Amino acid sequence: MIYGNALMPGGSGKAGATLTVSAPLGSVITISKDGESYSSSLLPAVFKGLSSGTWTRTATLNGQTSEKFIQIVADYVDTVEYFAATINVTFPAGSIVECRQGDYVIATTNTSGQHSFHVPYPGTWTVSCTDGTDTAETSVEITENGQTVSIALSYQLVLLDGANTFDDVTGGWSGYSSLDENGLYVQGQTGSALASTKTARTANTFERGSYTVLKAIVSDADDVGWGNYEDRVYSQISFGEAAVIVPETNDEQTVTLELGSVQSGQVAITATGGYYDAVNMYAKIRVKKLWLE
Amino acid sequence: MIIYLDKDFKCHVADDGNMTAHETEFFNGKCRAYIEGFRCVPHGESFNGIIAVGDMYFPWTDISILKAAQAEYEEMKSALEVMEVTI
Repeated sequence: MIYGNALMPGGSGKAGATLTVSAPLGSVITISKDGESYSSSLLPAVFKGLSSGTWTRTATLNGQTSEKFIQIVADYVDTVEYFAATINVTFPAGSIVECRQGDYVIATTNTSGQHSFHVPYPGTWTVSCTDGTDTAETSVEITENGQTVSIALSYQLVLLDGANTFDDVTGGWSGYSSLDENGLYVQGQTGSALASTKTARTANTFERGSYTVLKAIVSDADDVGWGNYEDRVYSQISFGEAAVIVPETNDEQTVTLELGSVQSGQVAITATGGYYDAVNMYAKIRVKKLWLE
Repeated sequence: MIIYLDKDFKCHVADDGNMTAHETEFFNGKCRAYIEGFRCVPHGESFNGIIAVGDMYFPWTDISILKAAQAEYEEMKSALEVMEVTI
C-alpha cells in the first residue's frame, strides 16, 4: 500500500509516473487499476511508480464522492472538486436506460420507467433507452453542482395532445378553427361558389429520422353534405407529400399514415368545403392527439 | 380521376389487366411520373402491418425525383398554354 508523500518501497529509483492529487481537507484519496488499489488521507496525495494506463481516482469526504478516470502516461497533477447533479428520467417501462458522457457510462437494472441518475461531473450527458427494437435518447447540459434536471424519453414524438400544441417541438399550430382540451378542430369553409379548404399546420418542418408512421386519434370526422358532390368534401392528415384521408365518422378512431420515402415535411390537418349544387357542404375533423412513431 | 393499383398498391395511370381501379382526387393536376411514384392503400386494406384507416397515399421512391418530374411537367404545360394563346 502506497501512502501519500511516500516513496515507493525500494527507493526513488522505481520506474513509473507520479500522480499528485489535491483535494479539500479531510478527503480520502484512492487510486486503483487492474486489481491494484492504493489510498491516502494525507494531502496532497502523492502516488509514485505508477504503471501507464487508466487509473480510477476516487475521493470521498463526508458522504460526497468524486470519481475520475486518469490516463497515466507521464507525471500527472489532479485536483478534486466534489460535484453531484441528478437527472430524473421517465422512459417506457421495460426498456433498458443508461446515462453516458464519453466513455463514462452509468447503467442500471431498473426498468420500471422511472430512474434517477446521479452524475459526478458537469458537461453534456446523453440519456438513452432501448427496448431492443426502438431507441430514444436526449442530451442534457449539466452545469451546476446540485442541479436537478427532469427529462422524458419516448419512442413517440407527440405533436398535439388536447390543447397542448408542443410549441417547442412544432413551432406552434396555425390555421385551425378552434383549440381546446378536446383537441384541435378544423372545419372546411362554405358559402362560396368555389371550394374552400381549411388547413391547420405546424410552423416547423420535421425530419422523420427513425419514425415510420404518423398517427392520430380523431373524432367528429363525418362530413356535412350529400348528393353528387359529397365526395368533394373530405378531411385528411398529411406529413409533407404523404397523406391519409380520414374515414367519415363522428366516432373516435385512430388513423395511421405510412411515411413512405418522405424524409421531411410539415404536419397538416385539412378539411375541404364548398358550395355544390346550391348546397353548402363541408368536411370537419377533431384531432385529439397526433404523434410520430 | 381513376388510377390503377397493382398487388403492391403502387399507382398506375393504365391498367395492365391485373390491377384494381380506384377513384381519387389526390392526384388531380399531377403528371404520370409523380402518380406512379406513389402507393395508395385504400381504406381497410393492409400494408406493411398497417391497416389503412382512410385511403393512404405515400411515395415508394425518392420524393425529390417525383417533385422534379412534376415541376418539369408544370413548366411544359405553362409553355404550351402560352403557345396556344399566341397562336
